Amino acid sequence: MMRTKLISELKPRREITPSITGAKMMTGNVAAAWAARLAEVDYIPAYPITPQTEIVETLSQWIALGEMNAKLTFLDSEHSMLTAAGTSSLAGARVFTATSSQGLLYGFEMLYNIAGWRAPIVLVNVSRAVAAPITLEPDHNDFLSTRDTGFILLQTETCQEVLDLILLAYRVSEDHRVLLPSIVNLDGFHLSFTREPVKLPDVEEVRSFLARYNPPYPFRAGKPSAKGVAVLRPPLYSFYKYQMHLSSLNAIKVFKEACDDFEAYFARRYDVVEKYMVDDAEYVFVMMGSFTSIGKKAVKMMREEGLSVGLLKLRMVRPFPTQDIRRALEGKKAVAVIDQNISPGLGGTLFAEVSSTLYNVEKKPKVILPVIGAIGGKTLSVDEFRYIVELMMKYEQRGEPEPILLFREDELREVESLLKLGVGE
Amino acid sequence: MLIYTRFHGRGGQGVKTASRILGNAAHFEGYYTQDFPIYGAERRGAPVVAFTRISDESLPVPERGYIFNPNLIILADESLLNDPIVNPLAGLQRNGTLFINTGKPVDKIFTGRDDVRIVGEDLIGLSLKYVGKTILSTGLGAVAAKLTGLIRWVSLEEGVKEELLEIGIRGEMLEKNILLAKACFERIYPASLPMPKLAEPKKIVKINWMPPNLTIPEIRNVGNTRVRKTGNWRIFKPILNLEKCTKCGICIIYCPEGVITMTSSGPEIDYENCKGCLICFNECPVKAFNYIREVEAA
Amino acid sequence: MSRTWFSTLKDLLGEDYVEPGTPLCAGCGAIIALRLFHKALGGRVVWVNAAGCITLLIVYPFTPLKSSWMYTAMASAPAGAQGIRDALDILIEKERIPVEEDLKVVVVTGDGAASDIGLQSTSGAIHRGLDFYYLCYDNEAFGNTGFQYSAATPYGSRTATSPPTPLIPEGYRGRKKDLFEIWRAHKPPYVATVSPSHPMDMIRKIEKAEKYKGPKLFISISPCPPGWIIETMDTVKLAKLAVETGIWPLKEAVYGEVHHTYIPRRLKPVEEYLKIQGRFKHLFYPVRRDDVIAKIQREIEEYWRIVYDKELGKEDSGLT
Repeated sequence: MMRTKLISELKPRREITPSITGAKMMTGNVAAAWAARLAEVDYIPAYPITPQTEIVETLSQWIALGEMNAKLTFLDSEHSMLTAAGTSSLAGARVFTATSSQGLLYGFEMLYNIAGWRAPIVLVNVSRAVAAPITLEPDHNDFLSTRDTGFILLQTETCQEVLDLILLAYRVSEDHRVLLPSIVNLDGFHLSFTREPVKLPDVEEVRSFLARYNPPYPFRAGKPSAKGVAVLRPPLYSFYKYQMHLSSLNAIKVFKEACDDFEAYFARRYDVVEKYMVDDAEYVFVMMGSFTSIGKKAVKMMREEGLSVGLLKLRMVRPFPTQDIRRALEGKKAVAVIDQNISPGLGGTLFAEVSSTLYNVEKKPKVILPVIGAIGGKTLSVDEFRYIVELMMKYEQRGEPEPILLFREDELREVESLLKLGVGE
Repeated sequence: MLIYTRFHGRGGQGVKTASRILGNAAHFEGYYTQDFPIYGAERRGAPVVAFTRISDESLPVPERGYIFNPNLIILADESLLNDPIVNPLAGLQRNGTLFINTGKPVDKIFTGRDDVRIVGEDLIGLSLKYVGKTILSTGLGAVAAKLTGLIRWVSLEEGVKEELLEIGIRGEMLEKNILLAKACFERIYPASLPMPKLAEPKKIVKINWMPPNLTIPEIRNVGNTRVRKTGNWRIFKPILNLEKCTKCGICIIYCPEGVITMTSSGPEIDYENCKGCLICFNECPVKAFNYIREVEAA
Repeated sequence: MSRTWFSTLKDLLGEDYVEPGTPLCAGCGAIIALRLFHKALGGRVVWVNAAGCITLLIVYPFTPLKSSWMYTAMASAPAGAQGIRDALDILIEKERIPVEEDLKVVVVTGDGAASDIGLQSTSGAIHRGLDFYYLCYDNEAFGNTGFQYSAATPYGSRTATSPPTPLIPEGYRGRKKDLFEIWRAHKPPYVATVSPSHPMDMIRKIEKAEKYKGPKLFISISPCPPGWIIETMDTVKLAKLAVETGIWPLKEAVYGEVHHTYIPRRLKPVEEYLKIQGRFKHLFYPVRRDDVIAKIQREIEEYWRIVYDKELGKEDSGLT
């Protein structure tokens, strides 16, 4: 048996790691607030909800101190907040707002409107599972419920990515080839309240990377226009909706262009997906959000053990990066889609989307395994990833996989003891 | 499929009810039937359209939606005939039948179509005679039923009863409506309608991305409704006697449509858009307005 | 900015901002009010709308308005107004747009949107002191969807969802929600009731309201020919009768302080108002419902007794 190494026996790290130079410790929420500040947004309609509230608190404070020149208005609900976000954007302001879970659903009607108005706001959603049962813990059901709204949807893994993707979101949303709003998602607790080193870009460089918003036809006394109007001719509705679809598809190209630019300015590289040891892998996990960090750790460990595994992280969910996913996953033995959401009666949302994307690929993976895990704040460990690889190998031989829930024995024991207390038997 | 009927009228004239009376009657006669109206943004007085499809198959009607190629058109309001936006004769098949509710002989009415049969009847006159007020729906439904050549009186009678009871007409009023339906049914000869044809095939096109100036659903050409010419809604036409007029401007202030303007000679009515609400007639302090029926004015 | 040049009716014949050719019903009361309102406010306006009849004023590709328009959603027109106001304020403050490009922000909704689904959003906007106008055209039901009862439907009205039947002979049994008082309880700078039949009263109120920064709210009675089952020509006549019978008091409240702008010397019997409307026909035919009519009359008289006591000497009472 190997002797456990003592911490003191490890080599001391270098005094200052160059990649962390100039970085500040901050939560994902504060990183999101910094992004709004660096993007020099004009307007922030707000409403509090856990775990998002820290974002608008931080912004309120900066504005009150005169450190940030924007108008922040506390509305009476998320529905009102999103309405004001949309109309202020149509009046020509750069708009930032944030919410979570129940708040997102309360304002849901307006998401379709904002996208249909072609109002390029950026909305930060701090993921939190949706009631009932009510909880504060995260999963992706809230975020994924917006997938048909017309918003550009982006997912983040680190606090740095939160900041960077918000800046990229403004670039993409406000581009006239796109002109659709964005949601940038960060997982509650695991990013919102987690501090990590974050590099703050220089404000002048951000100004140069992200030009001032140029609204196409803002409300002005001299140029009247009627917006948000009813269309009662059915072909017209199809036309506008399909144009939204085509504009959304443009966002892939526009995002990639912006990423090149972003790298030139800030020396950090992004793409619509992130491939972690995917190219030579035979078995690939597909997932998104902060828990991809756990997945990467599992991949690294299993690779050391000789297993040919990799992880594909989806950074962009709408538009769906079909080509990037196809090219990353074609020819693989098996793919497991780990959904941190549940569509009762179907399984996971991402599984359905990834599977349909791969169906028309000539060299499609033999197995696509639907896995539901880590919803409502439940965490993941390397054990679950090992189990998934075993299943991929099993179904590669034979069988038709059905969605399974990742649930550990210790968690079942915990549930049983809680049920005993709650039910009283 | 046997009959494609399209009803044209104005909101409030009962074309929806007429399409349902025909639907009921054909249903009682044993045909598979579908009826439906199309509601738009338009309000009372604006042109509306309703449809009845009648099939001799026992299968459900294998079609839905607007009827583009009717073999029977029922026109509740003669004034719609030459309306370029409504275009009520659009798609009417060769040898199809057009019914017009009119007091005039049909050979005096210009339809621009010499390849269709035209039938006319003064349903307003009949309604006044049998019911005592102007109800068009019953008459329109009865006429349509007879024109199909498929429906017997007993089925129509049941059809009228069921529909009118559903909208709350009962007792003496119901009896009078049935008498009206019977009178209409007896005065009309069945038409020999051509078998419906499929509409002309249309090409499927590819939609490409277009820039935001075309694809944001907003109107920048503001104040452009004048071209809609809502004057065709009018049933009554207000006439101003300038000799009585004191130019006080009250008619202008109260006009919901803003179609009256003050000129040097006095208020002037834009008849292209006046909907004929007659508020001007009612509110004029010196009773300088009069009105006449639009059909008579034409 | 006061517009003293609206001193007589003739001054109202000037520039009109609503073109003919709307898709609204012939004889619509709401559009008369909106047209007058627009004349008083001038053309530099953005209307912010919630779902209702007036939404159909603008259906692509047509708008009768020469001014700007924003349709939001049924529940949140005042929040939509907040967004536009805030955006224009911050863009002017940052000198990104000149002051000349500024707009007056005007919410326009029906009583359905105003009385409950949009009330949270309205309450929020008033409470925040949003500088905006609100015009509620009150046709006393959900007119756009076919005249179902709303919170603003009066006692005794027939609607599509309160048909008089042998079980419920009086039709709608609820009471009209007092939106004026709800708004007034927020103590905004200006709240008023208006009527399209009284254009000068309406114009003077708008002129007065313009002097205040903050919420300026108006409820206009809006007779509705198809819903009220009246002749199209009777719209203005009914609005006038509503005022003269006292069922629709013309009043204003400045920072919560109420003042009636028209006090009928003698109230006409409410029966004159009710009997020409099809929605109240069941109170007269086949059996006359004196109890229901008397109840409506009594409530009006109780209202005015208090007004007369407060705003006139008792000897000057219009009640007999």
